[in-house]
Amino acid sequence: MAQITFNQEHKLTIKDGTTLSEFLKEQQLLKEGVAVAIDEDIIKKDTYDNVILKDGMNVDVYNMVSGG
Amino acid sequence: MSDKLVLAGREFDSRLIIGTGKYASAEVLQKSALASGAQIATMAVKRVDVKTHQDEIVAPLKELNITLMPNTSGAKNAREAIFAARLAREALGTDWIKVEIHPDVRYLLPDPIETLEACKVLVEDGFKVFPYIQADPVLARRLEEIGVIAVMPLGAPIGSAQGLQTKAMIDIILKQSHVPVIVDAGIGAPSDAALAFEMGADAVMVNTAIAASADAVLMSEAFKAACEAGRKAYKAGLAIKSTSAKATSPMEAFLKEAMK
Repeated sequence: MAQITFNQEHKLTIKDGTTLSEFLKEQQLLKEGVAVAIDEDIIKKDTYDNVILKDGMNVDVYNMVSGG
Repeated sequence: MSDKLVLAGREFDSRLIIGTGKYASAEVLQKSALASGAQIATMAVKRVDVKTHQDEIVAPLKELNITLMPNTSGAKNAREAIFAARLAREALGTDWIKVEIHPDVRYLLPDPIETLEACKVLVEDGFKVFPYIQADPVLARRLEEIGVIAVMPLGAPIGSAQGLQTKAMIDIILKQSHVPVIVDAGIGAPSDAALAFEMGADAVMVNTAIAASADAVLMSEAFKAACEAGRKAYKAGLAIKSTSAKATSPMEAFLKEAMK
């Protein structure tokens, strides 16, 4: 098992070998208008399947919100 | 007569750009957007809030075929703005970005130094950059030189509805700019928008004045009409102001004769 920090405040335990796309699917966040940064590196959408989440990673998921 | 707004090689019939904040719901936003005729809308990028349910705003705007102009609102310096821009590009697949950097929460005035710095990096990175700036003609020029698509000078602080407090400076920007000028922030009434167009603005951006209205859809219609009126007046050419009266009717001369 690995522990990651999700959106700065949530400590989550995930199975070893979990990919970013699996994680996003689980969180219902694998959708349009979403971007992900891991340890402040922005992850390209077409690589989500290949990114394996590891212990200690900071995973931040962003979406578009209303604003001027 | 064709009178398109051209931004980054794309043509738009509407010169009204809308913000997406403060609407009562995504449904009201969509109805207002439709009523305003706007073809461009701006929105912010933030960390997903997993606890609260957030209204989905991308889908309702895409349904209307509205071009999305993400902004870097919330950024307090160039580094944060660049990060937000890159996130928005990944999230939406667009290279359009409205650069907004306001470290001071009371007045939300844009930081010119950080803005110029962020714009340099983003232009080099291939973004189509639209900086939100103080109505500073010198800064507008500097930004134009580094290759921004348009400049977005403010009329008054964001959400203040004070109208074009910076009118004289916007006038200078309009006179010397070679890129489109989008008057942003502070527009409180349709007449403010009309005035901006009469002065020669290429577009205006409106959020609070519409979204916070008791009837946002009706206000959208009012802004649409005002923008079109102001633009047509500019194209037609306004009357020259004079300190003395000028007779509108030749009758006056005739009456003078008759009274003798």
